[in-house]
Amino acid sequence: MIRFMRHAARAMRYTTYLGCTALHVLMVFGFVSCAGTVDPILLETSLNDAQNAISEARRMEAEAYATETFSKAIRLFEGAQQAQRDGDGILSIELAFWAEMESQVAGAQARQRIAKNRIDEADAEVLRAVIQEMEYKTRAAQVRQLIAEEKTRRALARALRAEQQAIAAHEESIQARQDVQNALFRAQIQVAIERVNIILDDAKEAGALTYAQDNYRAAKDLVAQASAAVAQGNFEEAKSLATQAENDANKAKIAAVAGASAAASESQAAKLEAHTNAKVALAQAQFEIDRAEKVNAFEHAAEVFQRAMTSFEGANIALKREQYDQAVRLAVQAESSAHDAFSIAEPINRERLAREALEEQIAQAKDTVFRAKEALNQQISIAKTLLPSLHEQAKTLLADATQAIADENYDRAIEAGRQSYDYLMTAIEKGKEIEAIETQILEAATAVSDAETGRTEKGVLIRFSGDLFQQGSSSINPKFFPKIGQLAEVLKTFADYKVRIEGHSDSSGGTEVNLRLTQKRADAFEKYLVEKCGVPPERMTAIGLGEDHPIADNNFQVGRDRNRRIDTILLTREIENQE
Amino acid sequence: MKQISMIIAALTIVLMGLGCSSTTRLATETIYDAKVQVETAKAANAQDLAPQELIDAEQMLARAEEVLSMGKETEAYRLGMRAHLKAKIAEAIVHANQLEAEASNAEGVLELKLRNVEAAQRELEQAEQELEALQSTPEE
Repeated sequence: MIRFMRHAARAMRYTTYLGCTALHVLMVFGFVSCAGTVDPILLETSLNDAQNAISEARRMEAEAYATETFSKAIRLFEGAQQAQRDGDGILSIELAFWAEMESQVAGAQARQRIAKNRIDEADAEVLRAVIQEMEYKTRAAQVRQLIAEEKTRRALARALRAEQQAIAAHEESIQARQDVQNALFRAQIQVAIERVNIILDDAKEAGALTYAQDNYRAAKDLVAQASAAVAQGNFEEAKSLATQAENDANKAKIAAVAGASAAASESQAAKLEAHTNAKVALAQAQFEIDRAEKVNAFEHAAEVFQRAMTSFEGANIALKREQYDQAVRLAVQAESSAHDAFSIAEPINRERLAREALEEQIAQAKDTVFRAKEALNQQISIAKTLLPSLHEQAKTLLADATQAIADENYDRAIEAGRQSYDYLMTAIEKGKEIEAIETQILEAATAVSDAETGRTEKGVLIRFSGDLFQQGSSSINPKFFPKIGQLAEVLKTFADYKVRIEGHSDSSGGTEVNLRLTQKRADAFEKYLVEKCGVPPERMTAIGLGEDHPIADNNFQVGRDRNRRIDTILLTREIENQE
Repeated sequence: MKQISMIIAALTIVLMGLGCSSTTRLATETIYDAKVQVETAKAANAQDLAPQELIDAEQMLARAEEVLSMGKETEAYRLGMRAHLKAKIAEAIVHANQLEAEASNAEGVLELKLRNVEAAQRELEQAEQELEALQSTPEE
């Protein structure tokens, strides 16, 4: 009895160390009283183990992060030391063991607190980093936009200049052709007028002013009118007048010759005719020489042309010396040589004109491809990201255009280059539209509580995860009803876009089971949106994707919670496909 | 004096009787608490993340039940307490491991984000240099 009372008294004292009721302590003492003596080495080892565990917990900063448990461990250790001093070895061992274990608990709790602090700090830093990244990206996008606009402006300016040059060249070409045509007409008519003048000179010499004055003056008047018409560019009228003048001149000459024939000797008439023939031959030679000059015969058939010129000069000299037969012979040679020179020079000249036209076409093709390349190289991420197929089509067409240039198919190059440029411009415009509407949707989606939002390659994502559904069930957790209502408001606001509902699971359970379960959950989610929130069913498609698309580590609870989710995607980027 | 001794003796007998019934109840409750704690540790996946502590706790619990059935309440209580503490350690270690894994994961995410920030900054600098170069280049 006395021993029991003594134990009870000590039990009351040790409650301070144990931090529990006297009854618990009594239980320990009951054990102690039942036990025998204790090995001092075992006692020392137990105390050392407890001391080490406390030191380890202190090293893990348990004093600061798990104060209560650590204090308990300290009190237990002090109790163990007190029991040792009181000679209660078994009690001391027991208390030391408890102190060791409480120290381990304190150490683990400290690790938990430290880890939580690390998570909080990392989350805060991540948030700051995301904001910083978005700021940098926004600024970079703005700068890229400026670059793109500047490049586009420059490319357009270059293209405009090239187009203006091409138009001017085309106009010059037309004008040059017209000039050549006019010069040809003018030369032909002047030859005709010259021929009339020669006939009139002959008629005058034959006495036309005496014997055929009317015809002579009429022919002179007609020649003057024809010359005036040539000067005004009325070639048809001039030609008609020259023909009439020639008729009158011939009549005057015939009448003059006839009238003068009585007074003139036969030799004079012959001389007159020879002079006339020489003059006509020279005029015809002059016509051929002019024609050859028009096609640059002095350059393309220099030798032959020079021969024609020499003969022509010789014919003129012979005419002045009244060597009419010689003049006619040389004039005919000159005409023949000039004709040959024309025949040689004309195809060469034609080829040169064709080459110039081809060079102009090549320049135009290269400029078109250059513009398309400039547009493609502008790194316009909007077009590339949001409308990849249009961007790809533009790239393909550009490659086609480049190949066409290599194949010397310039018409094809111009066509493909223009198409590529148009596609890119369309992609950029549409990309801007999509970017703007997605920004609006994301802003509206901030009203949906507890939902993650973001952009995906299909469109705007609004995600619910965690306990949206009960374990293994496709029944929606009622606490999500208001949040789904908020989501429905967003879907109804942006009613032009189709909606894809994707169900996902974590890796717990079988693959087939998860696939079926996620399909049921996606269907249930869609049904709620239709029946309770009034979202038109024809806009939505529900699909279960099972466990194959995790977004977090399935080895931890937090990861599994994130992987169990419903992703609602507004398909803003399907415009391209629809078109 | 004799009367006082008699009263004390009677009280002692009552207290001891009460004590015996209380020790049995306390040992049973302690073992029950230890069982709950072991199940909690298992639910937290202690088999994988703190296997030795869980095994220790389960062995101590089995031994506590065994000695309780032999009528050794005090020993059963002591082992039950140890099992309870071991299971508590196991659970705390599991949570600490999970939280540390989460922390590492969060720090990994942070590192990734910081790299993204650096990349975005480089991209911005490059774009600014390109713009400056373009603006300083005269038009053809």
